[in-house]
Amino acid sequence: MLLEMDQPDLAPHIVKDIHERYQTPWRWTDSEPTLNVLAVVIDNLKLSLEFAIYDQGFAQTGPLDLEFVVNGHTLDKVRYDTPGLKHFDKPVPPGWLSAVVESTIAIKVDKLYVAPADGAKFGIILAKAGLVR
Amino acid sequence: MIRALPPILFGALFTVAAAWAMGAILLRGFAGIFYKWEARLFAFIAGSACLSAVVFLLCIFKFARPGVFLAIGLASIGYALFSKADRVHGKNFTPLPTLGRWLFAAVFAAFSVYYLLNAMSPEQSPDGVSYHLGVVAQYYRARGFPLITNNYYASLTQGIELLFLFAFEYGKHSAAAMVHFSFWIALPLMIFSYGRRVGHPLAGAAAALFTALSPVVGMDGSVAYVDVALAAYAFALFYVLQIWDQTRDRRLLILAGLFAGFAYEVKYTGGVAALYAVGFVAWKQFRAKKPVLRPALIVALTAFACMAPWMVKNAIEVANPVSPFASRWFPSPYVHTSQIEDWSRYLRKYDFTSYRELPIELTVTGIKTSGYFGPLFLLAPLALLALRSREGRQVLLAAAIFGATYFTNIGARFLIPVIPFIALALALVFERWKWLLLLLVAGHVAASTPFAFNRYASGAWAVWTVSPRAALRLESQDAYLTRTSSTYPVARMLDRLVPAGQKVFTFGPIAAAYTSREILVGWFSGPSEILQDILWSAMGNDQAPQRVVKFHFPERLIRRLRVVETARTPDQIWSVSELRVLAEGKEIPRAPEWRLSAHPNPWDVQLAFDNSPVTRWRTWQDAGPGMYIQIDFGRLQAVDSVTIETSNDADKSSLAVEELTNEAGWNRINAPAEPSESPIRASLRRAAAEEFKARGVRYLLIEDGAWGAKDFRLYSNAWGIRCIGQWRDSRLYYIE
Repeated sequence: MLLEMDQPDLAPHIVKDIHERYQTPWRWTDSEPTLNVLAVVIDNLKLSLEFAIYDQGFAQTGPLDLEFVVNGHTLDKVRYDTPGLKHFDKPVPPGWLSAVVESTIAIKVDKLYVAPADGAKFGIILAKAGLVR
Repeated sequence: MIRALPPILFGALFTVAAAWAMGAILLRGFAGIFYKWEARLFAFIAGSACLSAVVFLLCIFKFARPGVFLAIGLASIGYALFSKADRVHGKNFTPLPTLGRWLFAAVFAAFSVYYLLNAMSPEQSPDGVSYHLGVVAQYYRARGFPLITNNYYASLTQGIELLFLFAFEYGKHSAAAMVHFSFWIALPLMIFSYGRRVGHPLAGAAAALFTALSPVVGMDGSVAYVDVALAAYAFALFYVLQIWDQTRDRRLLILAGLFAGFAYEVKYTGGVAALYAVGFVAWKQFRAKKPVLRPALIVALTAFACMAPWMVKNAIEVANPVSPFASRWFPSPYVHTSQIEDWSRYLRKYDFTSYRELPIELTVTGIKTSGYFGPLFLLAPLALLALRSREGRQVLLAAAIFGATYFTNIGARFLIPVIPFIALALALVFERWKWLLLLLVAGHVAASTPFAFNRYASGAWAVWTVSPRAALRLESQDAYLTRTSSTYPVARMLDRLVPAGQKVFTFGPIAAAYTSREILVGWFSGPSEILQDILWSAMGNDQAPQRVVKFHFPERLIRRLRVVETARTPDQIWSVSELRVLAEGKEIPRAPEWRLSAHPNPWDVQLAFDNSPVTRWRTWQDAGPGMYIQIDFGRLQAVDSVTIETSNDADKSSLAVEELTNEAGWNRINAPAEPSESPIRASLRRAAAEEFKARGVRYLLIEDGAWGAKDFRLYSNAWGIRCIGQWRDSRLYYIE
């Protein structure tokens, strides 16, 4: 199931660190955006994410290290050296998943962009996240 | 809209009049015993029991129809008038001082109007609309007793509900509530009357007001509950026994038996009335060195004649004469032992951490106890001083007996039958200081007004306000309830969106009295709890069959095999989602000649052999040694392994495999249990939905606060369900 950040029933899926949406199809995150999502099956699923690294933020933070976590297990750690649209896809071991209860997916962002205007902190721009075949 | 009012008034008044007429006819044979006021009151109390018995008979034969009720009511009233049974004979009480009489009348009348308006208002009390009238509405539609096996509240005795049915035929819900209100009127008048009989009119008047004005008594007595009626029968029984003790008139023993038996018909906890009546008569006869057996038998047999029909009805319908209780002695598929024991455990404790909180809750705050009696009753311990007088000892004895069942349910309502006795004892203690007693009355009156509620008991179950417009139907019932009730619109939504004849599953009770659809509440019956378990097995880590216990042993020929529980596991139910038998690594196909059995809960054994991961056989009580699930292969079968697919909520089970041998009976096979995890690879939600469809249930009503509500809402595709209606936080789903 892939969650789109502009879907109307997203709120109950959000565990933490995902901002309100402001007429955009994406949402800003904080340092550890976390979502709950149900895996209807556990075999042959991959974690799929569509996100962006804000270019002005990148200019401030430099390369970002993202850690992708599924139900407490680190699936991958990736360094992103450029800003812009990103896509992450990686198979998840079935043993980490449950078809009974929701799985928790999280992205740990190592550095936050601090907006000069008001000091607000931002992680990445998240568009889609979920577990898909 | 005001045209809706006459049927309500007619339904209530006609029921009360028919009851009173029947009682008046019955009491013709009691001439010379009662004062006039007593005769009037006992006529209503006795007649209500008689009318209820008539309605019971009509319900058996499905003759519960308006025309039949009309004929019976008119015949009773007509015969009472014709035979002049309505003309009460007897002495008058010594007249009361005018000021006292008017004061009592003024206070009682003011509260009567207030609570009458509440009774006339569209009914929305929680238990009233869910089961007291929910069951009555089913009787109404069926013109009698339908077979109800999916709601254990329908197995509770329904003596007052049958009076509700009589009124419901004409005036529906509010008429029923007004019938209960008539007991709210009768009870204090009996207390007052008793006080006058025993020469304590002031104490009687004070105790009458202490009782009737108590917020929880007023609330309960003005909705379609039964507790005030039970209190009326408890007090009437006490009253009649006291008169019998004075007169030793044998006719009163019949009346005592009737009141005692009907107390059981009103509510199971009223069963103590029969013990009290028989014990009282036997003891008094014994003390007087008079024959004990015959009078005690008259009381006992009369009471039993009232009680027995309900026991027989339950025995026939749900295989348990006292259903839903005593399910260990009378096991049935309709009620699970764990269900009742968990429920009872809760009722004994509610949300209390200590019983020390009870006195304040019962008298002042009333949140946890669902109602309160007023600060006056903080003085209840002083009632013990009444032990000094004979009257005091008698009322305290009755209080002790009717209070004996209180700790089976510590809600304030369950103390209502005791309150008249405590109130009377208290009033007897203070009677010697008249001004102090009047001060207590004045304080209780002030504390019992809705103006005072807000000051010290906000949020308790009490009549905070009444709407005369709604009571008089200047505002329609539909408009009023849609505006004020959270459950009525949901019930109406069901009638609108669910086709007639369809069943709706829900986790918690709804206003079943306002819908004609069949409601299956998860904890209201065994079969409904299985439905609930199916849903939870699909979305609960503890309930899903993710645990396998395997037994491997050298191949042997077996005719009968069973898996047994060997240990006691308190607070854990043993369950088996699937039991599989294997030979040479392959499952032996289940065959038609296999005979399956289980203990306990033999009815559901098939659920362990149906290849459905969301159904399971469960013991539905704490697992213990001697419980088993068994296969008779019908012939010798080579077997070398047995696997149990079970769940984590049964992980404490200690299992063994046994075979039946010709020589040694059941022989335990030396094969250690090998537990392992077995993850569910695909969601079971669709399978659960299919099980519902197979059971003829296509609708789910889920409140947002229910466990799993979010799952239904977010993953409706996984379940194969579609939300077809919503009222506030209640959603109605259709299983596609």
